[in-house]
Amino acid sequence: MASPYSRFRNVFSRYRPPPLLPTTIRTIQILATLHLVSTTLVELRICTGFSMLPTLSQHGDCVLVSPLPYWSPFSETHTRSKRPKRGDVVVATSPMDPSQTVCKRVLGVEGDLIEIEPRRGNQRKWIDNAGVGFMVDIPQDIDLEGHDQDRHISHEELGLMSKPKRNGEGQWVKVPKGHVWLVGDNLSNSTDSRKYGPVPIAMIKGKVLARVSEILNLPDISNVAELGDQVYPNPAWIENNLRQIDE
Amino acid sequence: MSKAGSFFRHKGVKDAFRVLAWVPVGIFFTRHVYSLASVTGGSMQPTFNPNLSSSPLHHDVVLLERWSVAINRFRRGDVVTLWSPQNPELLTTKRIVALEGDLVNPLPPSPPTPIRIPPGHCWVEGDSKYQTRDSNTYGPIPLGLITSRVAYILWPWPRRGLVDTDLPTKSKGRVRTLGQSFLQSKFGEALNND
Repeated sequence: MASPYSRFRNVFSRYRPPPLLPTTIRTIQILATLHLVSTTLVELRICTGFSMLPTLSQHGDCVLVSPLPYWSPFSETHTRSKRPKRGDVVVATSPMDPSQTVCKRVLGVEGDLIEIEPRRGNQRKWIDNAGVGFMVDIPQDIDLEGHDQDRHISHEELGLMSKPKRNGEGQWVKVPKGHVWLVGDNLSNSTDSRKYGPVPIAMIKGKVLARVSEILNLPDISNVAELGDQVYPNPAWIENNLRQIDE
Repeated sequence: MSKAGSFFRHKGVKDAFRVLAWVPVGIFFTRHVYSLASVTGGSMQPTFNPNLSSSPLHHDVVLLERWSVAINRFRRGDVVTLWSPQNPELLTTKRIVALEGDLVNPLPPSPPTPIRIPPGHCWVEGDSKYQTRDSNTYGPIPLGLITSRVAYILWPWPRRGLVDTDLPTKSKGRVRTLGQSFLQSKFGEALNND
């Protein structure tokens, strides 16, 4: 008398789990191969944060990173051409924390003279008290009442006085040998070479080739009309947005 | 059967794939666990290549312990290999003297004011009595430049053994660690002056 489950029981009793050792070995081999491909050929990485805001979203963009553009088999002859160029978006080990990586744009290569703080104008501040961040101009808190009686102040002087100077404004740095100057695209909210100084080239892990997709695409429905052209094409190649300015 | 299928069914091809599948595992091992290297040059002189002047072609063979860097374990006194900050193609060997937060009195090539090591950085120095190109030349270096820890001297058979992690005499007493209180550091200085 065959119960309806006897067939299943038969199948179950005949089932042998896959032998443990070959499965483990095969898994290790596959994982090692994937690791090799991701460290030498191409890799998909998730890049979050506000520092690259116009180029990469703050919610986390999936980007294509490859060390191949900087890989040179004959290091002596091709050294100059294989080093990071101005305008490249690169992924580097964070100088502040070796377990993290940062994604920044190369602003200067060795020998360049760079102003630490290129922004001019009002100090702006990132306000995030209600969970919705926005930029605010800090009101100029220099009272001009005392100077109003005194009519002899020139216009330039007044302009200089009313503009608070930023930290690093007007200070110039020469990028040392073997280093690059890394800066985020969002200058007002980025921890970069302005804080930790020039970064050695050996810290650069790869070049960001393309943005593949936005992993957490949360369009604000109410603001879509206002955003308009701010919605970037997705996916896209990351370009070297370098323009020569003739003096 | 398709041609490709029959190709993969050959015994020789199967064996080749079986061998090739181990190559990435080996590369992973040498990159993240252990690997061998030979040390050239004299910047770590009492520790490696002690008689470089008499036998300039001699290289010490050492075992590099890479997993301790992979898990971000750095200690004062460790001998490490790192990419030179000035030349990204050059791998050098130095000793970690101070970690983040420490106060270091640098040696001559840099100005003689105490330096506080910034977060994520360290201070490396060569063991040699003579001037080496180390943090006294190029300042504190980011920990991300360090690739491995030198754990064991393998080749000159009489000198084989663990690499000692004691600071050389020139580096002693110049570092005030973050954990030391003011009194402790005063006490330590008094002891060193005896």
